[in-house]
Amino acid sequence: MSGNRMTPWWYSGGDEPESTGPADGATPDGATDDGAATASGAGLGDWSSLLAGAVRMVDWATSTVMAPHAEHDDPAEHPTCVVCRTIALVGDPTGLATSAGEPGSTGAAATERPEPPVIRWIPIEDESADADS
Amino acid sequence: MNRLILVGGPAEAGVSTHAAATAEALRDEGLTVHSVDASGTAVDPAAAALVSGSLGGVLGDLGADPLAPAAWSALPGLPVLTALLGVEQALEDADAVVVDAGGPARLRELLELPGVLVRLLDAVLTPRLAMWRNGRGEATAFDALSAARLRALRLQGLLQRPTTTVRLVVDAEPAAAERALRMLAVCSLLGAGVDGVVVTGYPRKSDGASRSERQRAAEALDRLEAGSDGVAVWRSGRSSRAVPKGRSVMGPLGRVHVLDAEQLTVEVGDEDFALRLPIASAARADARVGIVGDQLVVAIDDATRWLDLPPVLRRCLPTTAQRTPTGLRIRFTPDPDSWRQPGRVS
Repeated sequence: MSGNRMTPWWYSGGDEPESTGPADGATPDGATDDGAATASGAGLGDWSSLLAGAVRMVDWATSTVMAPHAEHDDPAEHPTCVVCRTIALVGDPTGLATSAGEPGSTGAAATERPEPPVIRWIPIEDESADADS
Repeated sequence: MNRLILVGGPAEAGVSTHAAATAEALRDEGLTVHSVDASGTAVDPAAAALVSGSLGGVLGDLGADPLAPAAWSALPGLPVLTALLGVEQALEDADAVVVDAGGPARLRELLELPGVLVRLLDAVLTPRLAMWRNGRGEATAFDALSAARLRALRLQGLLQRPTTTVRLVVDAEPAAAERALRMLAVCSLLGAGVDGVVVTGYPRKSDGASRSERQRAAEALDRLEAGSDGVAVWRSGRSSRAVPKGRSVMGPLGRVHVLDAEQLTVEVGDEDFALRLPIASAARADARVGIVGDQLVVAIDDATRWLDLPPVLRRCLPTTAQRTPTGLRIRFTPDPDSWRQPGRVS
């Protein structure tokens, strides 16, 4: 157990209030002696910063990926869009990738037409002695 | 249940005359009878308006430019649909409806069209269409096409019910007899039972017919009686006789030959199953049978009947078929991908 002021390697700390160091009984990596995370002190600060980072990632993905994709009707026409590339790669079995208001639109479901079913004719034999027994 | 009689046969055989005689004989029995002429190509303006209102409405919601009802009148199949809608309407307040179904092609179209429409609409009515909404947020296309499918099912039901029969009119010639037997097979395949074959213009010595004419006519009659699987066959001379002597025109006139989807029987064997299909003897030699998805397809000439397979056979693979004295017997073996114990029936 050390009383030194330590911060995790990933913690920038620039926008956080000055840390008072690990709480009593906490290990340098933020865990208590019994292995559980603390609900206060440095542990809380770490989780808050993690959460904030996650929220920023979601915001970034929304603004740079999902918002532009909302304008895309035909995934085949947008090879640089991550969502369109994924849809084109895995197909769209639901047929819902295209706009629901345009059944005739040229979306992935329309361009990848399934083959029509083929009748499998059954060979017919001439009547045998026990055929109608 | 009121009676529906479709009269059909080759051109010049006297189909219209026999249809009129049948309607007259029914009226003579005190019945309310309506006649429908389905032999021509005229389109009832009301039918064109119906199509332009329903199908045109759907297409309009999908972005198509509107069309005047008259512009739909040349649509293939519309005369047949017109006739069927006329029959449906006539049956509402009549004891019997007699339809002049014209030649073999028109008769087949009348019997096949409702089933074709049902299959077409089944393919169109997808989950994607169900989720589609027009500019007002309404599921108009799905609703309209669902209603059209129900109406097509009703028309199909009218043609396949027990009180609907077909009467064939044929010349007293051997070749015409063969064609009539072929028509009988097609009608029964399509679910409309044939209950009578009338041979018109049967030559008589008293009318001055030559010996060879009478021989050919007798041969035609023999072929019909031998190949019609027990369906009533009768002669009609100069005066068209609606039914054989001593029979009621309301009929049916005896045995009705029909492929009834409800009557298909599955036989369970030690290692496999067998499905029996009755096929009219005239087409037994060259009828074809196939599988697509969960449906059985039976074909005679250009006519096809689509039947839902009995549930147990949907998990089986067809192996072979045999001709029997009554039709076809198709063998199925359990699909190893669907059965826990492949090849064994418990």
